Amino acid sequence: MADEKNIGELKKEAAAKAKAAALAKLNREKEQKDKNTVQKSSTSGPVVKINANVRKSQEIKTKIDDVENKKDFAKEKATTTVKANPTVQQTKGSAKEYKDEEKEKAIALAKEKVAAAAKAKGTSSSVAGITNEISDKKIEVSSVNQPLLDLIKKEVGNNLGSNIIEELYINKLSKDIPTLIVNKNNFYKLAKVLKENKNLDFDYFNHLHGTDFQTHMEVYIQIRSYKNGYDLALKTKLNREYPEVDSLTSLWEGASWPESEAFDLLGIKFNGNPDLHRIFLGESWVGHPLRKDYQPYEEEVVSE
Amino acid sequence: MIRTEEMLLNVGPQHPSTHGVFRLVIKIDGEIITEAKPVIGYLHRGTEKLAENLQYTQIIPYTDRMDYVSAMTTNYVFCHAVETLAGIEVPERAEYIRVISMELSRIASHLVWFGTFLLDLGAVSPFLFAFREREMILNFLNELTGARLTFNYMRVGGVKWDVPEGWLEKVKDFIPYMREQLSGYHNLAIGNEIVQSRLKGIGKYTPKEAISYSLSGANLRCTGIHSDVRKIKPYSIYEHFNFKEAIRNEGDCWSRLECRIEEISESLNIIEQAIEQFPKTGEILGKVPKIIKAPPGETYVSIESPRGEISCYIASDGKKEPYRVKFRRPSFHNLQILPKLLIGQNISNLIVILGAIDIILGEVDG
Repeated sequence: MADEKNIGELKKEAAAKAKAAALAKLNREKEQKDKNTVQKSSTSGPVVKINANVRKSQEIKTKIDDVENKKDFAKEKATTTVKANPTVQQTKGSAKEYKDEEKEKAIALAKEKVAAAAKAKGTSSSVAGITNEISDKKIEVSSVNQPLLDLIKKEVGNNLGSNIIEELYINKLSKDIPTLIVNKNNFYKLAKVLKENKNLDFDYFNHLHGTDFQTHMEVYIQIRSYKNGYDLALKTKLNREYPEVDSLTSLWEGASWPESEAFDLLGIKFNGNPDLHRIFLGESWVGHPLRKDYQPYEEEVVSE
Repeated sequence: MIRTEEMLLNVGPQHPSTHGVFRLVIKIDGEIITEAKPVIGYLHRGTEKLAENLQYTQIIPYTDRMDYVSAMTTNYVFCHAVETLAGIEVPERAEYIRVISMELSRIASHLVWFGTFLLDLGAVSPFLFAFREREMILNFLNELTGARLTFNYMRVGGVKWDVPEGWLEKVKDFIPYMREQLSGYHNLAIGNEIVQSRLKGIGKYTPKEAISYSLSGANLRCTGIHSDVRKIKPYSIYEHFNFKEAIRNEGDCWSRLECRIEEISESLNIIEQAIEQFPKTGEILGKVPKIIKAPPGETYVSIESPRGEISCYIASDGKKEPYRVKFRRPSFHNLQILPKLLIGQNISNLIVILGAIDIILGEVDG
């Protein structure tokens, strides 16, 4: 027993030392760093691009309208998706010299898809007109999510007031996903609305992780609505010293383990998670490895 | 009334039916499970932490070790994330090679699952047949990449090696052979009444529960939800192919088996079409700088791995190393429902229910 206690104390001592050293190091680094830090790049970077995105999406929108007039949207779909998806961009170039067959194939496929989509739409006719409009656009140009962003803004505004969202933008670098940033006190409230609102219906919890941005902690979640085909990223910033946020397990059971993972590796506390534990490293592990100032405690290596 | 006693039973971490180092602490009352607690983390290697100190290309071998049964898909999701973030274009020929190798990987992975799953049930011979076919696929991939399991084959912007001469023909010849074997599996095991009665109605959940627990892959599609990422959010060149999404409605272990077997035949269809459309000439690596630097920002991309939706998040601060890398590992999310499925079940169903989820511990623990 006494030995165990000693080891425990030693561990703690070592951890405290490591932490102090790391903090000193961090401070030094901070002084040297110019303003191009991660924080700026991670938050304000994409925001700057919003206007450009909006413009672009409007351009594409008008393009679609034109096409719809021509009643030829199956064909257009084949080309717009190619245009919209950067990874398939090169197919556009080579398609010309490529066989005509293949083009026809793509068109036939697109036609099938449109038919299937129309069928699916028929089943969920209860959704308001605006939703239908969005799902139309989404099928035609999968990468333009501006209407979805507007819908979310509207629905959240109706339920919680328009001030609740701190920032919202489309993340161009992440396949055009609509992204919301919210204060941590409103994190749970907003998630609840996003899940329970009938027009949004984000019933699927896709992903959660935390990131240590040195000035603050960030929790990033991604949720999905299988019924409507929407995807959404939601972020919140936490105090780095005492990162705490409300747990989402009462909304989505699947959030429990990812929350435990973030707790284990970053020390983010999720209030209200009944099963929050150090899922990978075990309860005796000192420190949170994914923090940027983490100093590994190496028992084996003794330098004297 | 027979008097029963509550007993604590420790399954694993070293147990062949857990398919890796996975521990399960269960309480049983007679033969009925009353409580189950999964313990994971035995294989946690800190891939995400290691990745923070490595350049983008150097991270690819680490992704091999996450889902070591289907390393191609994990390779791909990371490369795809970097390409999306840095706006790197991939030549069409490279995409075709990627899709063929990924679908071969998917078949190999499902064969491992099929063999070991039936082995868990007590059927030994399907394992031998499934591994015979898997061996052929591993030989193809070995010829293509120089490795049997940890390929390290994909690169940001393309692939490492071009297809060897005559390789596509060999793969093409394999397709009808594999189709024949699939019907053989059906005669041997899947159509077997004992196997069916052992699986039908076991480990059942509703679509609502499946969605609530963040399941993906065959675990979600067995409840009738269209969730194949290749279909709902097409990536790479999957839009070029005509294939069906494997869907069942029962939500039990049997429907998961059927889903995966159907996925094998759909993968064969994709490979067949890909070989038909395969560009005769072209680059296998796009225009990629020697040292890849992603612009500041973040990205999150999803693809369909044999086990479900695998995703990669990268936050970059403009340096040649990523600031933060995070993988959504489908096995990790899928495993979460296990305690719920086990409670009230007979202990003899434990291994069946665990096996039907199809976990890879390297992926669960990251």
